[in-house]
Amino acid sequence: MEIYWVILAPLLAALLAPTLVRLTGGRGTGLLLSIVPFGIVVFLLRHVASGNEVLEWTHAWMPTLGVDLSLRISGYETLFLLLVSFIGGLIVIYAGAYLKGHPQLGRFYLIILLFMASMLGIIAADDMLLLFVFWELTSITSFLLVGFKHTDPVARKAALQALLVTGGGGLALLAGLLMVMQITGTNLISALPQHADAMAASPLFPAAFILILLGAFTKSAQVPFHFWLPGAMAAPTPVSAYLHSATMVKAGVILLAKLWPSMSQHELWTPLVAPVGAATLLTGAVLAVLQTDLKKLLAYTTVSILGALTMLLGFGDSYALKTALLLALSHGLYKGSLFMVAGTIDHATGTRDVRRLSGLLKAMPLLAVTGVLAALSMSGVPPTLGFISKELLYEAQLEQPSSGWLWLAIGFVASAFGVTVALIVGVRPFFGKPGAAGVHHAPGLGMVLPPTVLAVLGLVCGLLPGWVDSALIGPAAGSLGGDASHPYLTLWHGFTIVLALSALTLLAGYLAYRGRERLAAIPAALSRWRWITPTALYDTCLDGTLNFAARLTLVIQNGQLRHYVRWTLVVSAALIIYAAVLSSSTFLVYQGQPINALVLAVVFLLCVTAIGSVLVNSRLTAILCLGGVGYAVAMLFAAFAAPDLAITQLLVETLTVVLFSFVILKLPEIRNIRSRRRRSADMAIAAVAGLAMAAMAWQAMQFRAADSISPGLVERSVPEAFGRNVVNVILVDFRALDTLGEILVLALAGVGVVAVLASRRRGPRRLFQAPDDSEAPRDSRPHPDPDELDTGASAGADIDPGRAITTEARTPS
Amino acid sequence: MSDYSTSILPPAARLLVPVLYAFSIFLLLRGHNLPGGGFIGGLVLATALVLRVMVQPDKAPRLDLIVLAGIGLMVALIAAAVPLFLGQELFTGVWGPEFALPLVGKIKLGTVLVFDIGVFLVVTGVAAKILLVLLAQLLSGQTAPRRRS
Repeated sequence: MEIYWVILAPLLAALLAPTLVRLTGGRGTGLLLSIVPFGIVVFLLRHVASGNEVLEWTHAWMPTLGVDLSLRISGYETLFLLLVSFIGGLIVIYAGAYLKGHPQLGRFYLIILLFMASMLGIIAADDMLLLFVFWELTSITSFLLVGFKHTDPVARKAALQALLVTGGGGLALLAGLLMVMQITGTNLISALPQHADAMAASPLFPAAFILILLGAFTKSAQVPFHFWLPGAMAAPTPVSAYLHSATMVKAGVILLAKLWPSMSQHELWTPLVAPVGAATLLTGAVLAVLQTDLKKLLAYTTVSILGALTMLLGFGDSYALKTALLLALSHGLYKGSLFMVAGTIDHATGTRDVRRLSGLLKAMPLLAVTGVLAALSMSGVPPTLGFISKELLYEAQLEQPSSGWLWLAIGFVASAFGVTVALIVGVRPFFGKPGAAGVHHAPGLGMVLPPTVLAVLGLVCGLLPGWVDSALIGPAAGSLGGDASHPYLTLWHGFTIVLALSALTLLAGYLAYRGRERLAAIPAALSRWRWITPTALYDTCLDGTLNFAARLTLVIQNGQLRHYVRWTLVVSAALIIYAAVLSSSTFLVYQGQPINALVLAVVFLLCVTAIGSVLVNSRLTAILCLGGVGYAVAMLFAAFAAPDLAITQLLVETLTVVLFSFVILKLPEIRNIRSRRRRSADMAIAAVAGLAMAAMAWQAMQFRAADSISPGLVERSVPEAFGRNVVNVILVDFRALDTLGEILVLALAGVGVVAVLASRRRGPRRLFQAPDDSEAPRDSRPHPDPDELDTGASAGADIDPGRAITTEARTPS
Repeated sequence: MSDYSTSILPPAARLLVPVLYAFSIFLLLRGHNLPGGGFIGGLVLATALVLRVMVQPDKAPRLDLIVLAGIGLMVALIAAAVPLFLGQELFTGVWGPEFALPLVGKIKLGTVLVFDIGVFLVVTGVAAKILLVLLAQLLSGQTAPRRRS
């Protein structure tokens, strides 16, 4: 099997999913679809069993740009592909039960499988641009999944926030990757280590590196970009469990690990990466214990662990690298499980507020076992995998050459709070007296088994550290250039300081758990500092941008057609004068085709009709005059041997007349503008714009930098495209791509016009406002001064819905 | 009900519309060798459709014209993609036999012609749709003026 199937198979499954849901009514679709990710798991496990050698596949994509579809699966990629596809399979089953009977189940499967394909793509991509494409795809699918409950304004806001933060980081990442490609001359990540010297020597590299880090940090929710992740909890729980714990948020870490072999020895790596990771580790943990919502608790601890992973990779030594890989695995197992447990509790009781949940053990015994098991792994209790990863984390921090104790203190506080959260989420809801929230309905197996599988796996892997080491973590570390066999994974390291620390962590975490009531009071005390948080800064920036845009729109497009025309003319005339007139020194004599009597006559007709259209007092006459201008222009085209252009011009003029015949009945009579000053200003604008246009046309004769391409096209028209009408041959053959773009724009514009026209019936609604504000008084619209209202030209022809209604409202009732 | 039910327009339209239909296809087919083509043909067909609805408002086209534009885009895309399946670059013209039609002259079949048909459909759909929506609003506004109590 070629390895591109790892990405192609979920992609095809995604496209089939909606049809499948329609055929089966949603029953068992999850089970059926999970065959694809589990198939990938089987393929990868067999690959691991058969020696785990590097698999590569390349196909030329954009050869002129040197961009290939290059995939590469080594030990490291295998580990993460396994994690993503295995959890993905469980999530697909879980979502089937969680969203049972949901009318948009098909759409959900479509997007989540698309996400799975792009996530697998990020991991397997070896070409940097291909990686970027998959990276952006995860941002977009994440946007769609977070906003899945699209009728909920909170979900829409969270989706937009996640998209803006990760998408903005994505742009930085693209710039950074392009710079790295420039410096090294290769697209392939696997080839970067050979160019480490070039990168170290390049003055461009620090900028490129910071840009790449911006991409990775926004995606992996590092401080100060961490705020979008808890917001993204507005998504349905299967999405949170998959994207926001195990996969997408790890993309930044995955990228850092991919770059680890080539960049970790650079002098900037540790100072820039490790402190950010440590700050995130601490911030996430502290914010986590202040929460009362199950999913928010888990989200902030996820932020914390992402910080730990970044910090470990940032240390740059082989020991920390292997620890990071193990931590990623164990975190994926227990956090995915806990998220699903939280979702099942929410589904069964209708609340995620931990203060209202207790004593659920009797109603959901298997779920309770799962929750406790996952909580044990999260707390780092032996013999779970979480215990081993925490021991290694402490050890890696202690081994740091500088300020090891500082790192360790941060790790200790964060881990202790992790224990607290594990107790609150995984243990507390199940014990004690039955709480305020009762169980509506016992959850089905589809909502209990997937988290159980993950939790049990966390235990099994903990019991078989040797197998995990030799099959997964060791080869992964080895393929990144780390030491595959050090540290050796084992449950028992002997009586060391680290073991004592582990025990102390559990104790401290338990004490914090007992005092959680007092912890929960802290947020209220700090509320006056809220404006300084990144969330508030984000809101300020977003609101400021939108307000600025709205104000600018009101200035430039205030609903009056005259005003639009004035702005358009002034700006284009200014640009033309700058570009065509001021920047050229010589004025030429006429070099065009000979002018005969026919042309002179047509020009005369043109002038007469143009002047007439301004002078007449009836709108119908004005339209006829403008039509005369159009037909005269068409005649000019014909006179200068451009029949296609002439025909098109004639047809457009005809359609315009038809259009006018539709709207003319709705237009008020022309009335003259009383203000003399305004009339002279308009006249001046018109004169300058007309002269600028004429000057540009005149000067266009001398702007010919290169030889004309038309003789070549005319020559090739018949032999290559079998057509004697060279205009048409250019349109549909030589430049067919341009035409395709044009008709696409045309179709989109058509949809837009029809939508705007249809929206007139629904009443006024201003841009950038929540729908519930649509009843706002119309008088709040800035009214133009009465002088301008007289023309009223915008009432019918203008497409501004708000104004059209305003004029209608004034008609007698 | 329509304001266009004068004594001249409807009979003239009845004669003109079929001619315009034929003329639009004539323009489309001859476009490769003589003035014409999908864009011009599409504008003529759009005019004909609007003219027909103007005099017979109840005879609106059964197919939503925006869908027609979408179909046109698909046709153009397919025409562009055909060479891919023959191992050639996107947008390469794939040519078939040539034959002569009365009035139109010689026509060479090929993906380029199919692409032009796509352009034809998009232009027809969008231009006619916009005009017909405006026309429908005009007519409904006249027959049932909205009043506020």
